[in-house]
Amino acid sequence: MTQHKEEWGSKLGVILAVAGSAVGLGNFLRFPGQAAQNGGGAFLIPYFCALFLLGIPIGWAEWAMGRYGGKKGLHSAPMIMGAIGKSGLARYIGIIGVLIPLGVSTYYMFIETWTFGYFLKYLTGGIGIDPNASIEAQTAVANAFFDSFTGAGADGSLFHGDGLRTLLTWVVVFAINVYFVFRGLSKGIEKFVSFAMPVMAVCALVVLIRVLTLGTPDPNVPENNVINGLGFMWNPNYEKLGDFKTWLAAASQIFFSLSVGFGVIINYASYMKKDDDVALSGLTASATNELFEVGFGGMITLTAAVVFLGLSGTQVAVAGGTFKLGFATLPVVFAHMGWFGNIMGALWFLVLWLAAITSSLSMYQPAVAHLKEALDWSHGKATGFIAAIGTAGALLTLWYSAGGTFLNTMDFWVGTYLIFLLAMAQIIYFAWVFGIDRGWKEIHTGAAIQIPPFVKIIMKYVAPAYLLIVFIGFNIQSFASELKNATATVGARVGLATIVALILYLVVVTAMGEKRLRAAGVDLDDDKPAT
Amino acid sequence: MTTAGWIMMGISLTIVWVGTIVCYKLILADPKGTEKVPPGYGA
Repeated sequence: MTQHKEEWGSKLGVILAVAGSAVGLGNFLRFPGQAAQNGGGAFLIPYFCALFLLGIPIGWAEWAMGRYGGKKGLHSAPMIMGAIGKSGLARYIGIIGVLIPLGVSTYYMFIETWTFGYFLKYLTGGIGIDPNASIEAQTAVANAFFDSFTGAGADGSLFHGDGLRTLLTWVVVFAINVYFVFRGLSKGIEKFVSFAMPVMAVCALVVLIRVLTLGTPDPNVPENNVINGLGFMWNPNYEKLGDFKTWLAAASQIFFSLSVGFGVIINYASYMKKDDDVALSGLTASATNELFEVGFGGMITLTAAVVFLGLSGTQVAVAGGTFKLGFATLPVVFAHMGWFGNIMGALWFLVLWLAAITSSLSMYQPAVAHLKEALDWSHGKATGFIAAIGTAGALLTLWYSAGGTFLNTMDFWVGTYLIFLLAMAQIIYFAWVFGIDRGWKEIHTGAAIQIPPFVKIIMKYVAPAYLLIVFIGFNIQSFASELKNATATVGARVGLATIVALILYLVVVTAMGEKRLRAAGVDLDDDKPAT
Repeated sequence: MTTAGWIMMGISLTIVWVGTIVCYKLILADPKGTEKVPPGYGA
């Protein structure tokens, strides 16, 4: 191979990069909504069960697989999975590990554009909500701005008139992403997240302190206060624990939040040194994600909403979904905060933007690594090619903006369904083909902590069974309706076609890569285990 | 906010804050944790 060897600058760098990839909008917006709808504080029981039985163990397996692949000079999910699973089938299942981040990037940067656009608007005076108007009027203004900025009115509306501001904002966001990916791992991604993660934590802490000190802003409505806001989020409804959907929701939230089965950890870990600690690194990245999710997301969003909108208003906001809660409801909340509202809005959307960009930065890297490895391309050439694919996908997202048909199709099939599939494949290949004893030894190589032995049983039996049950439940609950949705509109059909095209592209590149690497004498089937 | 709500919140926040602090203490205590790769060796 002709490329420079890439490596992380420090162990803390890779931890922050993985944590940055995991911490996203879901931590601040989706988690509190899910908790409130699924038993409040009681939701945290299945949530922590899923964290310890599913998220962290599968994460360790993915970290260990990645570092093992790196020892053999492999960095892309298909080649690493092929070596771990000792088969061509595993190699081609590994394609999903490139497809997911690349496919998700097509719409994620669009959502990231909203956060950046709102941040700029709040820096320059807000989105035009009159603080003296009624709540209904304020909500109408917030909804109108959101619909206009996201092109919800009609397909193609972002390509003319007011929509052009969104398009221009997307260009800026996209350029920032490509710049840091182009700079490479240590000089680009690591450098950015090492700055962005602490800034995000400080901003989130400032917002949290302000929310917790809001007290009872309107003495005429004493029930709208911080304590009741916390109660809305945390009061447990234990009856919900008897509902399978609650356990399904908790497992899904943990899963998507930690970015396991996403294809990023396996790639990032492949750039670690052979004796770098994957056990503590994986645990620390998960802990960081949980701090942002439970410690900040669980305390800020709904508390602020109840203080200004009351319990009934917040219930309506939660039922409206993640995006409406973040981009239409919270701006109304900020409008009630007086002179501090715009500062709060700017800080909040800065937090969301940092959460989004630290995730989106990780999405091109697996595809860039795949091209470099398979075709022996330079970093610049591979980044340019992936950026071109990303641009094409993003333009489709931007065009089919009404109802988010393209976005929703990609989000379900690539950003949800395939994640379950890849995680299941990863833990099964790791525990049953690579071998749990060998895998256990691999996880503990260079480890500063000793993982309790019962986790071995969790990795071999509990996690695959847990995933299988959740996956079957997921299929029963959503497969038929989602398949119908995926063929119902032009945007959705284009989304499906895009996924098929990406799969074909990845199969061809992987086949070419396999041929090239075998000719170069690379041990793709793990005939000689790396030490 | 009910007593059970306070308890659930307290336990959850303790798990995530203490867990995070302990993890970072261990990482930063390890000399390899913040060790830098020699210039020119990275990407």
